[in-house]
Amino acid sequence: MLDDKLLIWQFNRGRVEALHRIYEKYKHDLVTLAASLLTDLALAEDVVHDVFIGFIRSSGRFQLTGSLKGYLSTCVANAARNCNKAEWRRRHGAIDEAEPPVSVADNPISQVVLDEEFGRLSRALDQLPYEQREVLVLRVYAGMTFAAIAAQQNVSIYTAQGRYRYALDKMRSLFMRSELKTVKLFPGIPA
Amino acid sequence: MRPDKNIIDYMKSVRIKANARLDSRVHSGIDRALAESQQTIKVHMEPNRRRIFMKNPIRKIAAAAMVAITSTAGILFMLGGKPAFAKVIQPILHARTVVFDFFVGDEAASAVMHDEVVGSRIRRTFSNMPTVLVLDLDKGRMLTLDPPSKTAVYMDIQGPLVEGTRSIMKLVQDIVKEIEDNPGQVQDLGRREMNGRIAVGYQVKGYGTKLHIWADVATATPVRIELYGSQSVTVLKNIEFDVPMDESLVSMDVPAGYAEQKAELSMGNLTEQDFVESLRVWAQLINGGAFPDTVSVEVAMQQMPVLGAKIGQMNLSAEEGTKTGVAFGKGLGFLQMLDYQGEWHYAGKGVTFGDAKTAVFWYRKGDAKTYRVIYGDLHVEDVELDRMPK
Repeated sequence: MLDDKLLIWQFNRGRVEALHRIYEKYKHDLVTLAASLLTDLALAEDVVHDVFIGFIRSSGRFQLTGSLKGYLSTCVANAARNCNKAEWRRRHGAIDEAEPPVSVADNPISQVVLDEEFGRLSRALDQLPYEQREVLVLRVYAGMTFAAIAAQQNVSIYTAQGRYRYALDKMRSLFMRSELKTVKLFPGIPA
Repeated sequence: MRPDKNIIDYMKSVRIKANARLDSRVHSGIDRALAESQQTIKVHMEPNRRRIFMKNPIRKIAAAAMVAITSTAGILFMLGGKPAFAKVIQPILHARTVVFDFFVGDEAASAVMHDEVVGSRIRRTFSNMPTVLVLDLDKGRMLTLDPPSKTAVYMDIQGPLVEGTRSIMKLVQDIVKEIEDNPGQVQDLGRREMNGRIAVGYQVKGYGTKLHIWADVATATPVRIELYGSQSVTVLKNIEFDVPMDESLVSMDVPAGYAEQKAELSMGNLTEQDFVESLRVWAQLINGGAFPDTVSVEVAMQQMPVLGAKIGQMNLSAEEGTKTGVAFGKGLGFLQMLDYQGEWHYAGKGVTFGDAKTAVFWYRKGDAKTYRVIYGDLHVEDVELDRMPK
């Protein structure tokens, strides 16, 4: 935390090299977060890139009130939600009305890039309503509190907790009846 | 153990690591912001910046360097023969002229080059400098025109540069040819909106890389081609065929009003020694005594104005400055060749120039049994595979 405050202090005084360190410190967390929200690595990279490039513009006036990781995670979540909406419109809009929607995880590029384990997880996450997926991912990967997630989603804390519960239930049921059983989530149940 | 906890633990065990491409994009963006704050760099220059730019010799330096850097992407296709493509659209095998834009890496962060091709002649202009290049691929010659100073310089570009450039153009035609011959070998990438048009994409893999071709659904012609090296991507976009062109634009004669400057410069073979020299320029001149965090064509192109500014500060003669720029560009051209012909690793981040014990770069071509390792003092050694850094 102190390290983050020092980095932000340097960042606000124009030492852009501090941003290199911030990126290096949180890049894997943020890419994992974005990729889990979008289930598409290429889009996830774009989101993380855009968040950092946008962050540069706040140099000199950025104030850290909570954790830096939480702030960046919220930025990634907001950008991912916008990206997800744009992607949804692209797939369902005027491009080709007759073309059936294709899961991002089924995209051949994504199949090549995503590793097998992440491919499994992303297929499961892809089946959750976006709001539920967002709560689950922000909670698990960003370590955000329900209060912070609720504020991010502009809902009550009870709604956020409910979405989290629904997401876990859905994941459990998906794992029980899919190839995800092979990850042995449930000792005693044959994979 | 509770199932919910197992789900959470499982999710936590699945981590995605940021890859080198994203690292390069983000670090480049940060560096660019830093450079802008120092008033030295802006890819798409505003008029006041352009005037500053014109006062120093960077135009010729950067132009010469960039022709080395950007031409070698086609070498892959020179080596690998025709890549197999399937289905695509409307063959244009005999286009007399081709016009396209191309860049390496991230479009937003890269200088964009515009090529107008008539047969074996190319007129190349840049988004970040006024310099004009005219290349004669048959004769391996390049004419560099500097409109602000009305000067012209001829340069020898025999060797991989001319072949690489030729192969990029040949690829454009091969795209169409292979559509007819191998319709079953292409992977469909689906549809995507590009500049307000709907494009359909195809992917072909092979030769250690992959190639994406996007074609306009309405006109059935390729509009964007992405060439993936091991650590970089070169993108051709806004491709148009048989555009009416004034052939005087690709004349190799010095235009009226221009004065020819004699220079003994060659952009011929690209060697390991060229790359060593580019590392020296990067560490000593650009980076003030330390090796850069990353080396890539994309980052190098962004560093050109910084290099020009440094050369300006050192009061080098125009000839010395140009030689420095050529050395830098040739070395990066060698790096880009490695991207397609071999494997390479860079570990110079945090290493001080002159550190003889620390390896900053190593590479091998093909299945070579030893790596060539470059150390921080720029001496080079052959190292067996089992002695390589892990």
